[in-house]
Amino acid sequence: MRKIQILLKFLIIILVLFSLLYIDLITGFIRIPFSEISKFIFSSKDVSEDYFVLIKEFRFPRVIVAMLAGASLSVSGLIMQTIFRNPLAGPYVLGVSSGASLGVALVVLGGSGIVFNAENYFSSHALLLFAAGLGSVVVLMLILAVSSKVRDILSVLITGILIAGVVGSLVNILQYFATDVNVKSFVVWTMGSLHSVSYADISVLTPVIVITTLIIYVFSKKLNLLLGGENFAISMGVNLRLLRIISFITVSVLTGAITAYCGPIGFIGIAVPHIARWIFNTSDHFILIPASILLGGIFILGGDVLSCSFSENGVLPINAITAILGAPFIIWVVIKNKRTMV
Amino acid sequence: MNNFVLHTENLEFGYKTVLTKPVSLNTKLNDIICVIGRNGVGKSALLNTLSGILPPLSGNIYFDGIELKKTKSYERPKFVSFVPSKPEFLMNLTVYEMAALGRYPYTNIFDIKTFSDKNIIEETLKEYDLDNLKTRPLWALSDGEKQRVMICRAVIQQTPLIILDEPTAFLDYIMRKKLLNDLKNLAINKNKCIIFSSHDIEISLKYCTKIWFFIDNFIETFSPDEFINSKIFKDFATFREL
Repeated sequence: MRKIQILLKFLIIILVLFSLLYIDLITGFIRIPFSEISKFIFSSKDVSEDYFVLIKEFRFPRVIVAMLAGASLSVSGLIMQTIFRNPLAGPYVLGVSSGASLGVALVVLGGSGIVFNAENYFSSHALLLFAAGLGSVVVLMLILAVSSKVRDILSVLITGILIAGVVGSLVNILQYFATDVNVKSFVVWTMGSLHSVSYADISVLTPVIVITTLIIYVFSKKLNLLLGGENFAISMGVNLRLLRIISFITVSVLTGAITAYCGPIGFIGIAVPHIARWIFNTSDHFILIPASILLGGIFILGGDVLSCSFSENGVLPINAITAILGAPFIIWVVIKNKRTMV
Repeated sequence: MNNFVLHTENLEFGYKTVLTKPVSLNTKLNDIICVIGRNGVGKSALLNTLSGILPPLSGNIYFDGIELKKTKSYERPKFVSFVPSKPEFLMNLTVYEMAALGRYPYTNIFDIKTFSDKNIIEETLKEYDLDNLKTRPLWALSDGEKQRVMICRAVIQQTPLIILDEPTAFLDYIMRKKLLNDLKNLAINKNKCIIFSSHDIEISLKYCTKIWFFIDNFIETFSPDEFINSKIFKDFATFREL
């Protein structure tokens, strides 16, 4: 009975995801007819030349990256909420995204002299990913150090915001001292959104994100045990240190990779896991991880549709849209959790 | 070693610094052991050490004659289950989900529960009057109900040894009696060994079969009768400094 319910819910979510995928492929500066998109997906031969190029070169990578970003940030948020035992944890509010930005800034502005072109594609992007991941790990360690001293959820949150502030200032200082050329390439980078990612980028992102997510899915059982308290988890035979290391690597890789390619995107990481818990009425990671992946895709595709349809001649930054959609959820979580958060 | 459920050999424990002289304790099935001592003497540290949360500083612990250090971390929860004093839960973990955590030592990495696993969970929930609360989130329960869920989970874990850290702390008088009655039932009818700490000497004396008393950096073992007639108890009862 319960299993059927869960399967039904997943089915509906997948349907919604696919309809949004269609809608997102349609929306943009040029509206593409529904039939052309169906043709592109199912046969890809009879599509008129113009539409084919438009879909293949612009819309399709955008949709893929959107789903990757939504999935990664949502899973990161879910893992962080469990590991820090904090319903308001997420990669953006606790400064993990900022840490990744700092990593990118150090590479681009810090005089590494790296040039992003097709010839050194692999080495330059590997360095970038590594730097973003490293930045994320450093912030996570700082937050872990604070949260082991302070049990209070809101204090940890404020610390995260302060860390994000300091990291932002460091990026500003780096910009101040960097050369004009470097600053230009960095500013272009920070403006990078879902719309500036190429197939080459996708071919790097996809395996990284898929493998990391699969690894953390295997640890769902241990994450579930952590829901009963840290001492309880240890008494059940969980190696807490190992679980933390795996989780931190997961969050850093997922958040770092997405931030490196799409810039910091906020609030998805907090909001989506809560929506998943609410829809499935469970805290079981075996359900919540796939649910967060799908719902994260829905959330960000929805945001992308909005960002493309508001202005006539361009797109709004996705970060602005996710903040407007996501911030009310945080308030909802605060109100809902009043009893459990002191 | 033979039929001791739990047996320690010159055990020294504590958080970084040693709290007592080396202790050698042992317990059998059907024992109900009450750990008594003043705040900060190391009751929780002892219970955490015995349940494998805190590594011992020196000495050995044996479960069923098997050395703790030699057991795999995933085998330990089949011997001993631990009920924390103030259970902390995250988010909307439901009663059923918490109870189901008790089967974790027996399921595979993807936590696939067999029919008998599910049966044990359902039966035990019924036994503890929790089956009508199954889908409730734990934070919405009263302290007494939370405690009952945690004990129910420990029973579902089917371990010979159950360790509880101050289980009576947040309960009223009636609930305390009921809880200790439940524990006694567990020890006698289900063939378990129960270790719990308490500040509630009077009520604990009625139910326990053995007392571990923390005194002057040492743990003394008494039977309830011995304890009542001991000098320690008289000092204790007349509020004299120990």
